[in-house]
Amino acid sequence: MRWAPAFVLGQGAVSPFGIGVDALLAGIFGGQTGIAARRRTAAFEAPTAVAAELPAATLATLGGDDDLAFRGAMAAAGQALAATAIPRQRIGLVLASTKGDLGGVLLDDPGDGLGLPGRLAGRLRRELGLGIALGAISCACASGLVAVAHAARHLQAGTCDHALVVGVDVHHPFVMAGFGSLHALDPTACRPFDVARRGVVLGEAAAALLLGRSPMGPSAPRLLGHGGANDACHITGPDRQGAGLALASQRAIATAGLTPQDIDVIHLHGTGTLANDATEAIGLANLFSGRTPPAFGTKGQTGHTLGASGVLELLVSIAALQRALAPSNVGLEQPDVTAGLDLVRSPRPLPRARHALKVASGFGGAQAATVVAP
Amino acid sequence: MSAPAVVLAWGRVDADGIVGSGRPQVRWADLGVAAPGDGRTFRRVFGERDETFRRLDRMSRVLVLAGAAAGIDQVLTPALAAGAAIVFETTVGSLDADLRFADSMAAGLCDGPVFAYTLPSSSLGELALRHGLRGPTVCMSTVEAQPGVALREAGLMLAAGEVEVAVVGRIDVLVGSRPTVTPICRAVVAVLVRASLGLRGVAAWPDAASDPWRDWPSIQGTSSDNRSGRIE
Repeated sequence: MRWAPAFVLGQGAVSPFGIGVDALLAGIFGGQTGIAARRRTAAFEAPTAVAAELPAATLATLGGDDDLAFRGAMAAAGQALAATAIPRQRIGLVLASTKGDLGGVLLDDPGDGLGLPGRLAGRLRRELGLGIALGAISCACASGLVAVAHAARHLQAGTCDHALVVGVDVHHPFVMAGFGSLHALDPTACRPFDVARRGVVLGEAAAALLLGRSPMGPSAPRLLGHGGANDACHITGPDRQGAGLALASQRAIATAGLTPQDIDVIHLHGTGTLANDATEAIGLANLFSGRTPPAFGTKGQTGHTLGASGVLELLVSIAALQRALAPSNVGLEQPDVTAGLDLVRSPRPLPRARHALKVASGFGGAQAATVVAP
Repeated sequence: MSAPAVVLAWGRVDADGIVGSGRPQVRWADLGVAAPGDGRTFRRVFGERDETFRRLDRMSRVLVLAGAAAGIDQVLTPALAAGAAIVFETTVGSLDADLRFADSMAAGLCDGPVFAYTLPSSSLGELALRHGLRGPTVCMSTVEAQPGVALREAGLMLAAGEVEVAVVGRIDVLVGSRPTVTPICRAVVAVLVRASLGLRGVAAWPDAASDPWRDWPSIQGTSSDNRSGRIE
């Protein structure tokens, strides 16, 4: 089976670097980090001093931190839709989120989002005036790439000609306490693949991709292949050989009509946990016969934006190809994973920039991968 | 949609009990427990040990029961299971575990093992690891979308040749500890294979009048409160 290309017609982002894709890319390729001492979330009970929060100016532009998942998603979606004149009634919406709007889950919280992404998806679709409900994906931290594959599946089947994929997750006391209770938070920094790494630093973001069956112009970035897999070994821990991630990647590459030799750069999941980084490196090194193409991750800059991460990081993957430049792994000083993973230590020009592989993993063993062309 | 698939097996758990293709219904009343059962239910119904069933959250327990009632291991070879997609829809998601974790936060405990189940994909993972299902995993939150989105998704995967097998279903389990919650217990698991494989099925591709599809329509809560899991 080979996927029909899905063309990227619009992009949007709200991230710890501010509003807009340009702000995101300036931060990423400038080697900056959005991770800092907790301010807005300082009162959340969690064993960490840091987080990647949306800047105060961004919150002010969005209208405050109340109802932030909705406001952020609307802003990112609006950017992605702004560049097109496609009638909104003909656009399908897919939402990717781990928990959507968590209002109403905590005692004494009057909200009604209830951590159900489908509720947020319905609200977004109505507010944006989009005519087709394609669904809401909640596949933990693989949600973004699973949602992109879901949209591509519907484009290929002809359910719709255009699909807007929005990924969003924002800070909430529930999530921060939860990761803390699993001892999964790094207390001071995010250091994916580094010997000193101690866990995740949470981030918050919204990102959007408008996809279409045709480029609507001379050229457009393309999503060429999608693969999924389940580790089928543990609900919160990865397969020790990274087999599921490698299998998802293998499926994505094959369904793009490519071989591993055609991949020029990898955008890693790279959460900063001991097990995830080590097994991701093993799985990818095995897939690429012992030595991967240049590989970078961006959670040392954006934090782990959970259900938004797949969509947000695809924006960076596309930009890396378009600039023929792999950004550095911020936070990495002394690698502590197999040397078969070619970790980028400083911004590295790509001699070939034809295809990027983006990967993601989530609780429940969900693994996902997407192949992108500029 | 034309019939791209054959239903190899199905299982269902609901307020009455547990039933699957080729096995008689076991009623909760006969087990002496209310839906969705307790940590001993798996062994009492299936006569086998499941080492970790007792520690699972309710959503996972019900999904594991429905999968066992379908007899997934009996109808899928390991090779077929290794390529099987897992495609589910849920309306109330992991709200049951969410409320439990929120209660633990309020008590100052922050129960980590419960937090691990505050994502609906965790329950799918429990099903995957028991049956060696290593295909694409898709969990859909369906408050707005029409019931049956998982079936349509699986149908697209099978029709396009993306997978040969899909374990598809819906799962909604909510007991909750708060007075505003309306209990729900309903899960359907169906094993679908591409029609082109020529395998013989036990049920028709979506036929609203027969099992396993008859209970697929929308959940109807009885409370107007948002916590009931009602569809908007």
